[in-house]
Amino acid sequence: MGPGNDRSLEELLRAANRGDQRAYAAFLHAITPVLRGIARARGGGLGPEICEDVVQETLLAIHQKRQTWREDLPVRPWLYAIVRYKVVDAFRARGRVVHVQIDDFAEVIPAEPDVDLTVRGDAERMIGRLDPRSARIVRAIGLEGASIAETSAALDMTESAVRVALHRGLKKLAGLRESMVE
Amino acid sequence: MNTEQLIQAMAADMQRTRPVEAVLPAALVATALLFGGIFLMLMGVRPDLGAALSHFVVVLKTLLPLALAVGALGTVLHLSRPGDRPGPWGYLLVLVPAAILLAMLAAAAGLAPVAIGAEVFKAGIASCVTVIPLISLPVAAASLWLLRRGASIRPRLTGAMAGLMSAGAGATMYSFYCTDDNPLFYGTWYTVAILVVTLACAHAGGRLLRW
Repeated sequence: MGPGNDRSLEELLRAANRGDQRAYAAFLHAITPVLRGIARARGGGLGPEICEDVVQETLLAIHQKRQTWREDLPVRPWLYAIVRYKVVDAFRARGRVVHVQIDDFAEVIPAEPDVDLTVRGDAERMIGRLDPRSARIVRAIGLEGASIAETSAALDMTESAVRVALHRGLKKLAGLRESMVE
Repeated sequence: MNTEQLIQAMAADMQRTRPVEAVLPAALVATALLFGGIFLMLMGVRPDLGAALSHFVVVLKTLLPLALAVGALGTVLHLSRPGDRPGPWGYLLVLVPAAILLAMLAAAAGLAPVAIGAEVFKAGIASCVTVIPLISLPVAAASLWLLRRGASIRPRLTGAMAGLMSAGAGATMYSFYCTDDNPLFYGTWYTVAILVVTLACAHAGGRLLRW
């Protein structure tokens, strides 16, 4: 599962806070199967695509709120509080009332995506509602795996402008998903 | 865009927002000094401020709302971080009302009901219950705006605490103007003014602090 498989979530997120992208990706990779397990356990009847949308929405929320973790505290209570809030919220927005208990996190079976849930999810529709430049940047870095440097060269923008546009794009994406189903 | 690609995009986004606790305390002090200062510059501090501050009840009139603001600030920062351990700040939110009640009881001791009424219903009421919210609301607006970068899982309670904090700061500033020094007066009307702001901010928080 990539670098940092043997490092604790705390170490990974601390390193991420200091600008270590690989550590941050490893952190997100480590928590995603757990999120997916929770989403499937709570909202399985809605189908894997909707559950995957909920997973993505929760990941975006974690990303937007990552500075609310205090580095001297364990990650899990923070993470679980966010996940509970967001998973309940995301299912409520889709007309389903779910409850997520702390115990669920101990019992959850981490789940990998079983089908290739690609382009038809909410994320694609939401990206379509970003301004064209942010959409291109989010796509280039997400879908095509381009680096900041490559994207800045391809779009003839400075690297810091690409960083800002990516940051704003993801923030907008999180906000759009929040308002989407209301 | 599948989840893997979304993670890739998020991992590339290394821009950090400064956490609430790094910005809110300074913003609270700055906005309270600014808006309280504007009021005090227009209306002037009480002329006998130096002499008045030698009386315990006058000092309390400033210190109690200040303690309330500090307690609410600590609580609001705690609430804005999910899974955080509570600090000692919440105790102030119990101690301050208890102290207000004690001060009021002490001031009422031995007074006839008519005399108590005369201390409570004075000319300063209108100024107190309008100016404290007027100073506090811009402070509260700035605070709520900053708190949007927090992650409170209880938006209304967090909004209420932001209101309590802002109104405590506003009342602290107002106390330098106010010449009604009886705890029966300020214990009643400062509390009313602070509660109005707290309720308004609970309502606003329920809308603004969702995420």
